[in-house]
Amino acid sequence: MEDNKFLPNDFEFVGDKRDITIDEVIPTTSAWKDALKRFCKNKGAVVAVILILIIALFAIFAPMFSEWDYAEINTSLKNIAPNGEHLFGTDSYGRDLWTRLWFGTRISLFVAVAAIIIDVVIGVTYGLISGYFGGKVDSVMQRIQEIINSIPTLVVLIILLMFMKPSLGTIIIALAFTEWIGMSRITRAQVLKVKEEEYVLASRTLGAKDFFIIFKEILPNIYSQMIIMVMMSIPNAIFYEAYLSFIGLGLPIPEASLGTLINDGYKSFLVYPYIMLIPVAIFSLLMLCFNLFGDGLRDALDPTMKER
Amino acid sequence: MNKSTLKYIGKRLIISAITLFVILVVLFLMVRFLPGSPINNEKLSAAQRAVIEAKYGLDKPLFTQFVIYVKDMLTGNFGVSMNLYKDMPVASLVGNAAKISFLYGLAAVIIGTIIGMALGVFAALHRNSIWDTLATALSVIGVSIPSFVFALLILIFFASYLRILPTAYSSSQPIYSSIMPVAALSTGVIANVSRFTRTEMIEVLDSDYMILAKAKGLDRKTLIFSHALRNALIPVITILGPILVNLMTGTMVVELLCSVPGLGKLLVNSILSSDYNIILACAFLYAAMYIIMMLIIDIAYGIIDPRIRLGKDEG
Repeated sequence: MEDNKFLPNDFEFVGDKRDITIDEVIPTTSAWKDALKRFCKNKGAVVAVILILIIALFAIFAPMFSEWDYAEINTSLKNIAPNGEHLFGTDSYGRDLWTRLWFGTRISLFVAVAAIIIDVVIGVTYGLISGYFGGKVDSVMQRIQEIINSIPTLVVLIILLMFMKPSLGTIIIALAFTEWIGMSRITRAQVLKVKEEEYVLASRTLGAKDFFIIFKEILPNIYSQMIIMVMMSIPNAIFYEAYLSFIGLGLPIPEASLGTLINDGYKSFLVYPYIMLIPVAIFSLLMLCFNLFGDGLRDALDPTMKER
Repeated sequence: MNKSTLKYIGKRLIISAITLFVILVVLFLMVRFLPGSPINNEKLSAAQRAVIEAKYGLDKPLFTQFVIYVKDMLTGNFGVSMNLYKDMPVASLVGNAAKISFLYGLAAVIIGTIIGMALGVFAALHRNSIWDTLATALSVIGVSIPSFVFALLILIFFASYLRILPTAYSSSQPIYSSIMPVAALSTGVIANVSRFTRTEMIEVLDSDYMILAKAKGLDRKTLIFSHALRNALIPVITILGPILVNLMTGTMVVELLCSVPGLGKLLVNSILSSDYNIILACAFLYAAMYIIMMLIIDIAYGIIDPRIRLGKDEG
């Protein structure tokens, strides 16, 4: 025992520092303000939002102020490289690519937003009914949903679009049809969690009707999950739209979307790479920004889910 | 395995079988009612058309057609191609295509998982360093941007600009020409796996038993390899489902881009020429693969962590 000597550096403290908490009186702020504050701390997400806004503004206004029309064919101006007059050049039909790009971005964003709105309406209603009423209604609705969910999205999309001739409307319907399931699942899970809370019981005891409980007690408490889900679905919808255009089930000619532009560019990318690279860049940027934005929102609205 | 596990597996099997059957019925009906017909040659007279329809059994009532189709299917006969590859048996066409797609998918999963795990563990061990930020940024890019964009970029840079990779698949050099599609497909896997591994790894490194192991005086190597890694890597099974689904979607466009004669290319071509039997077989195969994958993952996870199963049954 004698020759065993403890040196000062034999032991190190573990887990000491992280146990120290500093008491601090924090002034009350509303949940929205808190979320906004947390969101603004995430630099990536803020940059993403700004980029999305810039792209959206260009998509709305650039075609309006352009002297060229997105569908106007002028064979004397074929395949011009980017220059001062045609900022992004022209394609093999002589259409101005600057106008087409922003017009296509506009259509892609529109398709995504429209599909998500429809899918929120269907999904939230389905999830609310299934989760709130429970019992037999719930198990029947769940089985139906399970079966629809186990068909791969792509197969559903392809068959739907072969069934209904591809157009702006049918693409939106097809996308909404495949995307609502995720929405209804989240809604149902949240409703199941919230409906057992004491404040719902209190409201019920005071004689509130189902309608009141759903809209005044449950919905306001699950909105953050819905917003997160919506932001996560938008890049999905943009992706599937581009994807469908790429396999030939997209918007008909001469309409433009990011997918059709990439597809057009692919046909001649060996000779005129800029025709494809520019829409690919905008598409990738949009996907990246929406993903960063979604992640940022999730961390801000639901700090418990934060990835370290 | 106890009784409840077996019961759970049985229940999942029955649900999967019912789902597959429903999918088959829906696909069959939808494909039959699709606009456009496989016999779309306008020069044919009504009589000739009738002869061709009789040859493919399209003149019988729908229900009989379905019964015949299912009967044939159970014996491995998926009918013949109607106009894409005149009268070739669909089973062999789809089989050959599926083999290539399947190998590509497998290669992408294996390569992607190994690289992804290494990247994730590396990032977790060097938390908050520049390497961590770099790895995280890479994985965010990989998760957000679909594989076909990577395929296009690789195509432009390596095949068209540097000319060191072929632009199209050639059956004489199967390995050489599969570098590009497999690389494009594995980007998504790498990104997903590394992001998930990093999160799991950090959680494990912060756990109490790691502090205990460290306090016991274990060296760093034992600490990481036999204590942290093992616990961090099991949950990776949970994300294999979404990853494989992404991969199935990805293969379709990557195959088109790199002219690989796989399942996705076959499906798209058969849609363009409304070849009923091929569409049906491909779509069904996709759905079946998807369901079987989900089944295996669910069961595997149910055995590894029974809590997941309970949670799922309730919620």
